[in-house]
Amino acid sequence: MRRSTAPHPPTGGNMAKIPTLAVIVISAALILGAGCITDTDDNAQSYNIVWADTPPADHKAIEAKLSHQIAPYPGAVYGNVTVSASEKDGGMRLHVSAASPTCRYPDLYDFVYMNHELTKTGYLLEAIPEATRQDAIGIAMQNPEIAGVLSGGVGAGVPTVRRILPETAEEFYVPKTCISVTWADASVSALVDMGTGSVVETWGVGG
Amino acid sequence: MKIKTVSMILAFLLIAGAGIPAVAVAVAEVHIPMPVAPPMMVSMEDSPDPTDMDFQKLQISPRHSHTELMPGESDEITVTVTNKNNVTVPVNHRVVDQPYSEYTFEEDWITITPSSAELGPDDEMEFTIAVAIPDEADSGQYSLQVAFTDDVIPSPYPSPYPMYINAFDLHISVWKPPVIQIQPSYIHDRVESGKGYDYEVNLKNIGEEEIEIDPKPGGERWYGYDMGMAQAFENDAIMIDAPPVVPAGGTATVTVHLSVPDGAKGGYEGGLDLNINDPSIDEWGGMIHLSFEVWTQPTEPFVKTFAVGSFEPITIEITSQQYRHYTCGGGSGGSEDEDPSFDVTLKESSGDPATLTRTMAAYSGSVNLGGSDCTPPWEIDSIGMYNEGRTSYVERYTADGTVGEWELGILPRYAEEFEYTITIGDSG
Repeated sequence: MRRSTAPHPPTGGNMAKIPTLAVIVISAALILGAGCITDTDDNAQSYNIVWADTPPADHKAIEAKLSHQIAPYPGAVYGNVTVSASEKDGGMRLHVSAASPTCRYPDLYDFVYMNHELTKTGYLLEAIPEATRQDAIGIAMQNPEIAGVLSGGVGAGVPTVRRILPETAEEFYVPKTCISVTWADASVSALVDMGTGSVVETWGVGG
Repeated sequence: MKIKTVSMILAFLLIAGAGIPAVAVAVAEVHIPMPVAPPMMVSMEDSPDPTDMDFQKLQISPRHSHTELMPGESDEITVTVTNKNNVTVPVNHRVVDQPYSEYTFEEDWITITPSSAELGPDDEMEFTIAVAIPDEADSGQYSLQVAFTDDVIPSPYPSPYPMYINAFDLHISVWKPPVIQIQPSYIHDRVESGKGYDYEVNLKNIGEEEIEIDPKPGGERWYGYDMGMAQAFENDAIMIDAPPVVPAGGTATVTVHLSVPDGAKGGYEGGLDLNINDPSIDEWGGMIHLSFEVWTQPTEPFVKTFAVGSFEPITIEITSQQYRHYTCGGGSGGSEDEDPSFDVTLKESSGDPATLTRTMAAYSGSVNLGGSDCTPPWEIDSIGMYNEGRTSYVERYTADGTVGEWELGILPRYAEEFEYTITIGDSG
């Protein structure tokens, strides 16, 4: 295995050459600009990227693109990100497992890298901080429909708790990161908005 | 409206009435403050000739309604009553509790407006039935009937309770959101005799007061195993460790340790009664279903004898199927079982072992792709949603066959079941 590090912002080795006034102006602009940022970029965080096999020749370019397409659950950080690569139709299939030290399960991503383009083809995001995970289950269980199914005598095991990306959540609710709490054995699921602490959609109840 | 031809109705009532006395006995001691007409013991001599009965049939829409309310909540239902008769019908409704109602619906929980009416021919009137559940109401099922007239279905036989003709049936489920959350609500596992297993049940109290718990094995009656079915082991094989309370806003873990006795065979179906002191949890809701299947590793092989009539190769194929019983989705949780394998022997009738060559081993499975009934629509985009419902493992052996009797021995390891095929000659 070979380890490398995701791109970091420049550390400013030439800063001393920049006039003091310019530093002040730039700093002020950055501070003012921060108020306009609505989607914080977690990709700038540092984590280790481990290639399961020999990294491809252009692994640096792939890692740079990767860092813009994977992000942990808000408030969590990725520790190790493991990439498994395999050839596919002249391109490369990448399976990415991103683990967080504060989360029980990893986030999994699938990408296809072809013609210098990295395309996400699937994801299964279970790297959710334990407290948030339990809160999501609790919110789901307070939903009358879900509670009705779970207390209906069929029994229910431990649910899966998965992050739903905004582009998917938009189809059912609004473009916002949500959490899906699913009791597969009872065939019920709740789409939870952690911001409002509410269940915004249910599946498998009353059917 | 003069009814001359009610023989069909009466025939139905005669059949339905056969089971009524048992109900009457069952409810004899229930305290029902709402007016319930006393049983009418009518002898055959006293009963009117059904064909001479007069009653007014009103059209009532809807006839039934079911609603779910929490204590403190209220609801309104509008019922339309239409008089299709050619005479005016006085409507003086009354609320009648139903004898089969789980709980008693108090009369002051319901208001009906208007309080009375006169419905002329073809008149139609809406009655508003307002229901208000008080804060102290018990969770459960409440059934009541609003009878708009006193007309009852005539019966030549004793009728325990009047069956009102012009009535609206209302069923109300009073429920409270549980303050304590339990997961999982069942534990199912395949276990081996002589081994120990640990399981956890996590409780979360979202209320503002601590809740007492006192988990104990029990609840067999809930799962229908108190009727003489042999259990693989008794409740004393299950040790429970739990704190006495779940703190307000906190969590608690109930630890269940199972020591499967040596030599145990069969299964165990039972329950873990958490004995939660929370009125929002009913008796069923506070129960964890325990289901264990005791698996015993055979020590003696399965033996099959067969005859070979010529010098031909013998091919033996053994297949083991595994099923996932209680899950229909992928993802987290669950434990992996050991992979199955087989110890295979082949002997001639003389007792000499034949040389078996394993020529093939294969794993196969049946995988359901995403979008199945087990996948919520917002998880369709996720990978890893493959649902492997069945897997199988196959081993194939060959040996040089000679004329005579042969004996195949198969000792399975970690296999729920297996199938075998003995092919004599070209196996294709």
